[in-house]
Amino acid sequence: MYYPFFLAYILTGLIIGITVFVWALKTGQFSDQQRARFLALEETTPQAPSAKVGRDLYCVLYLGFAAVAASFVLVGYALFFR
Amino acid sequence: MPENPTRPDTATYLTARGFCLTSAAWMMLATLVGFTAAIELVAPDLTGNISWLLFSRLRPMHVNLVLFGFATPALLACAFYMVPRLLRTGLYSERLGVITVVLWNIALVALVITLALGVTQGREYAEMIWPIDVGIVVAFSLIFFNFMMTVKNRKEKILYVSVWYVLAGTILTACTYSLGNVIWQPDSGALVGIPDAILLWFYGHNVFGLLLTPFSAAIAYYIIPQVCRTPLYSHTLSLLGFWALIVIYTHIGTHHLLQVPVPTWLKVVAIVDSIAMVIPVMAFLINIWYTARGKLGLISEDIGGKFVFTGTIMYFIVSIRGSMMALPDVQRVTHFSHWVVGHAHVGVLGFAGMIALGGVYFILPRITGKPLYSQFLANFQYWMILIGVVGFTIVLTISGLIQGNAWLNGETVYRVLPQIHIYNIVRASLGLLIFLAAVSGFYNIFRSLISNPGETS
Repeated sequence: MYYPFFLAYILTGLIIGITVFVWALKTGQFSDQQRARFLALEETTPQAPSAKVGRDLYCVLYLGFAAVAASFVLVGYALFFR
Repeated sequence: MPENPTRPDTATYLTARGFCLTSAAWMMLATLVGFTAAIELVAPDLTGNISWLLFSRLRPMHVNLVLFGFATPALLACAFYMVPRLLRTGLYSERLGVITVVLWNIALVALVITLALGVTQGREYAEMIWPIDVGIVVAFSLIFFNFMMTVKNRKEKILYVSVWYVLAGTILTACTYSLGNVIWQPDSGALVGIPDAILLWFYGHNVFGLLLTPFSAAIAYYIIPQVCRTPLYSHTLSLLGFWALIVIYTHIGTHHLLQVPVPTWLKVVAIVDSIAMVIPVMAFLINIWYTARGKLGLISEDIGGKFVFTGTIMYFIVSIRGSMMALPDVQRVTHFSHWVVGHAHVGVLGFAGMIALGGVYFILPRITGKPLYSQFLANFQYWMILIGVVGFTIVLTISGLIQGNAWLNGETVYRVLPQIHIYNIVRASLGLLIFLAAVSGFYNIFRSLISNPGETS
């Protein structure tokens, strides 16, 4: 007997959805849309150059080497030992 | 009582920091588990009979960790930064937010332990047992309460579209998760028979469509105008897209069950609304892309913007694929094949994952007051993930078509497996790229949050 749960869920969703929509309409959420376009704009944080590229480069090279090595092991295992 | 009622600049963003770190850490495990599972498709005997490393345990662990460990916490981190700023007020309670982060991580630890031990409810995307389900629902309820109280204390009268998306995504997920996991039946977490299948896929699709999609859209609507230094193309169009998503997305889960004896009218509704998804999808994309028109130079200079904008392109791809896959004639070939796995990776990693990471890299300098620890590592992660997800899409689409056509032609499985073997090898290799991207991302995010040598701005 699952219909009551389904119906209750659908009705609850409908009621909440319509209520929220009416609230939005009444409180002017759909008015002044031109100003709303600017709401995301705010002061921007300056992007200073980041630190220590050299050490990161070694880190990435190491990871890349590990990736290539592991790929070779994986492909080798798959081709010759399976 | 609100802790920072009027001055968002004084906020410590502890909750956002906590969710950033949560996402970065769990992404490593999630991708490692996925990588291991991909290797097992190449070499099924690799891990022998180690029970917790069996594919059947790794697969749900990977899926749930990517969803609840990586993507959702990163999206929540951005939401906890963005919502108070858009409402020109402070977060209602950072303390409550931090409690939520802790509860979230406890649930994730429990998720890993139980699934590794094989303690599962055995329903796709709803494998977690009842106590974890309750923890997740409570966490979403606390988040919703925190956001709603912040809305109540707001200084800005109009709710920007991002706030709409975040509020809807939070409460709808709390409801859908409870319903989909049949939380009122703790023992089985399921109904019986066809109704359970309908309910499961109502939840299974909505956990992406009403969680990852709204949060990702919210972040894109917030970040792209800022990166492009231009107002949103149309706020009216964004609200149209929002309400269209709420109305349409909730109906489409049954397109997972076209080969199942569910009522035909329900299948028709699911297929029609799957195609109708073009309305909210294009409303969103037209809005974002028109906002970014002529500003791609600015986007390419900002690592957060670059991740987010790439995510919107992936959204286009995954949505077109999704609508197509709901058509019975297409699905006859693609269903139960690697095509679907490719679709999921474009959606969760390419769309939501990219936007989630973009959001994290966008907010990190703003919540720490220092530049990102390493732009280089962030760019490295961007390219690794981009190469990985595009590669996934190509190889999984090809192998999916091979599988689907073979099945349609009555081919036996043992003759098909050698044909897709090479694609499984490439897939596992690409998985390694994603794992390495996760490791470098964790290091970068960790150093940006803790022991960042950069100067405070």
